[in-house]
Amino acid sequence: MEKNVILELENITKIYPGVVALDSVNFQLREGEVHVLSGENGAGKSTLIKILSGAEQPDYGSIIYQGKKRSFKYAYEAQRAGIATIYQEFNLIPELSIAQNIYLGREPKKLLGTFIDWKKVEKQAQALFDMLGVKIDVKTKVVNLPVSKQQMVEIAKALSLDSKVIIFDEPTSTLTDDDIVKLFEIIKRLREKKIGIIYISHRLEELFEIGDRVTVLRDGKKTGHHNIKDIDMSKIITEMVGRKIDKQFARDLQKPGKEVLKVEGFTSKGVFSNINFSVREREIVGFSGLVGSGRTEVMRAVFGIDKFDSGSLHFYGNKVEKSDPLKSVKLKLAFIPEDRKSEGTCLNLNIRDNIILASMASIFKSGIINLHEEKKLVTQAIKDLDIKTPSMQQKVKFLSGGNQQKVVLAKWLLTKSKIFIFDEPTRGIDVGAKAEFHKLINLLVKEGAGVIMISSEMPEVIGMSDRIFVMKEGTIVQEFSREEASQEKILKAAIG
Amino acid sequence: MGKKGKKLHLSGPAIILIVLVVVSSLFINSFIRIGNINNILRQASMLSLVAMGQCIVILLAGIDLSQGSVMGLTGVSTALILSKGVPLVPGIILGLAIAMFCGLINGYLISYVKIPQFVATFGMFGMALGVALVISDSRVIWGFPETVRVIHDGEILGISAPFVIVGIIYLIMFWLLKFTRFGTSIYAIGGNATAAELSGMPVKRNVMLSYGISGLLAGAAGIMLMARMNSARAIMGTGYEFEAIAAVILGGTNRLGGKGGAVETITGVLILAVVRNALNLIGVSVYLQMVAVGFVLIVVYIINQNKGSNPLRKWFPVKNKGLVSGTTGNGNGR
Repeated sequence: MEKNVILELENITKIYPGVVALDSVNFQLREGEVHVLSGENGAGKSTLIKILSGAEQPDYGSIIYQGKKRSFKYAYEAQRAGIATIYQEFNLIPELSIAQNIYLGREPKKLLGTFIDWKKVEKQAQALFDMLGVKIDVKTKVVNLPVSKQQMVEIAKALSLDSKVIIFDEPTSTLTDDDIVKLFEIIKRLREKKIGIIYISHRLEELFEIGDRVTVLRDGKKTGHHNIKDIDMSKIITEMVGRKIDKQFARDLQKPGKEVLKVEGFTSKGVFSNINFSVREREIVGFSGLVGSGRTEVMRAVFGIDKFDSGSLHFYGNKVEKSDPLKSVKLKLAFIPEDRKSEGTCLNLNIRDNIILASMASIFKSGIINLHEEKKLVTQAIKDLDIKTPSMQQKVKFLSGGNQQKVVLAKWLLTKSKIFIFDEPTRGIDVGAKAEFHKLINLLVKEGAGVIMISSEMPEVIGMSDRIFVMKEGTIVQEFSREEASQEKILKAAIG
Repeated sequence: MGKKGKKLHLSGPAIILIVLVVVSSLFINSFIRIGNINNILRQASMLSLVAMGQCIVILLAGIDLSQGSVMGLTGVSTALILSKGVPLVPGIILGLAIAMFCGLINGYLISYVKIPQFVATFGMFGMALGVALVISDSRVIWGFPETVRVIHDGEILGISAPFVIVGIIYLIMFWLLKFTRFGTSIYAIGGNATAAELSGMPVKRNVMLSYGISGLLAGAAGIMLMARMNSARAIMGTGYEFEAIAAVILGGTNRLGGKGGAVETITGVLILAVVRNALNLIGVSVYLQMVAVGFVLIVVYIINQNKGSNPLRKWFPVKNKGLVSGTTGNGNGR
């Protein structure tokens, strides 16, 4: 083993049903280095982190920490061993103070262990922040802190656990520029203390500012491993997305018809601004961009789930003053949300109820459900979409992810909508189901629908869309036609 | 940790209590007499114990609907045990053991079997009451040795026994909640159970123990009530859990605020006791008293809430809350 290597991952493989999240990944971390882990959404970074932090177990491969083979079955095992992870969602108790949070469960005691020594807790916490070079009152309740300071509490906690490895998972996504400067100063201090740092971020500029080495993942495999000084941005982008698109996408290009949806100057303060686009019959408009770029928020506002502050919305050429889901459905819009479990289906209901849900008003106008008719429609839907289930009475929560998504789609297909908004429709679904889905969307478009597809999967976006909009931090930064688009161009625009 | 600093902030409920006492003293002649004050405090001693147990459970974002029945069960069991000739101290210990056992069952069902607190404690409410009715044959139990009355009527160093007992228990609870890891875990679990678990805290065990304490204290209240009335009935505690919940809320305990504990609970208990007593002295009917208590409860709850829309905020200012913590997912959404 090389000198100074504190953590090593050998041939780590992790397989989830239908998808290989990590495929024989090798990774190495030295003391006192900032090793950046880069890759698109779904490349496997989060999975790797979960394995390192003890939240998941690898199926194959080994973790070698401080020279010894280790396996971490629980999160606190990794913590106690000295591997700390700073997630985007903090594990802090809001109404307890900074000091209390840091020493939660490990408070020093006095008087033969009968009383917690709160003075000591505060002193030690203060010392940690002095070490980090941060001025803060450790008696402040965490809920009263801005996000950037809360992150520092997590870092202080990691230090207090005598961590030798600290993993940062997208630490800058919620920080201002000033906060980021302070964070980097802290990271430099941690580096001086010979702590090994794994840093995950989409923002490639940060890579060059703070990183010593970088490892790039793509579709679960390691595609590159370099010293930062030996590499430049375009090479990294190529390693992140430079895959061969050999899959054929079932896309029969159509001649677009009338405009069905138009959005002008669409703005929601602090969320997205000045969004302009239109969708016509028989076309698929793709929306690409990083997680957090605001795509979902725009579509939610279009459909009427969220409000918007300014700009205009036009359905079929008519201006819409206020949009709400009820009106949207009546106007033949369909929204297939990202989170099918909590927003797309009623897990505890059966397939039959789920599928009929959105079209009850339009099909059964009197308010009374004709069971015979319902059964016929649902049976046809199950057949058309090839939903694999023993019966329509099966509760949706027992279906696989792909089949659940088909139920959501079936629900909306039954409404015979004209405008479909898909938010990450094939995420977490196996290859076979994905292909079926694309065939169905293609069919929809052939029959005259206008489709918006939000997707973080490059091949899918490029393969299916007629036009692609790239969003970044709430605005549309670029538009590509199908012919112009390439993975590198899109990623470059998304990262900017 | 507000009260531990050098500055002593009077909480909203404390101010309310003081105001109530002052107003009552000024306008009701018989209020401020020693005999009356003694009465108030003695009457409040049962509720103090029950409320303290309920407080811990509420801090965990839970609820204990069984305390009244456990009170009755403990009172009846202890009475029966004592009338069979068992000496005082062992008899009481046995009674308390029964109470704690009921509480631990609650805790086990809630923590390990994952039954919702409402369902589990509601079930215990029925079961404990049922068992109490069976073993007492729905009769009033009396005729046990008079020695037990010392708990209620006796004095230790010139101070009424109930005050001493309640005082000691409250001191222990104060220490438990503020100076032990167990206590800190209670606030942590109530604030963010997931974070507490990930920090390696024995969440399941501590929740179970907390319900055990709640039961134990309910049992102690039952024994005290038994001593006061020199008799025991299965239904003697019915309704105490709701008074206890009211007292805890009136006192300002709020698990989302990380606030609460012994001091807050006794404040709430005293507010209730003073209001009841004052209305009694004026001659207000018991039913109207219920209206008054309900009203006070809602008003005080609003005062205690740290929401910006609170119209009473200008009299009870609270430090401005900063941004909500980053626990709402990826910063900018999808």
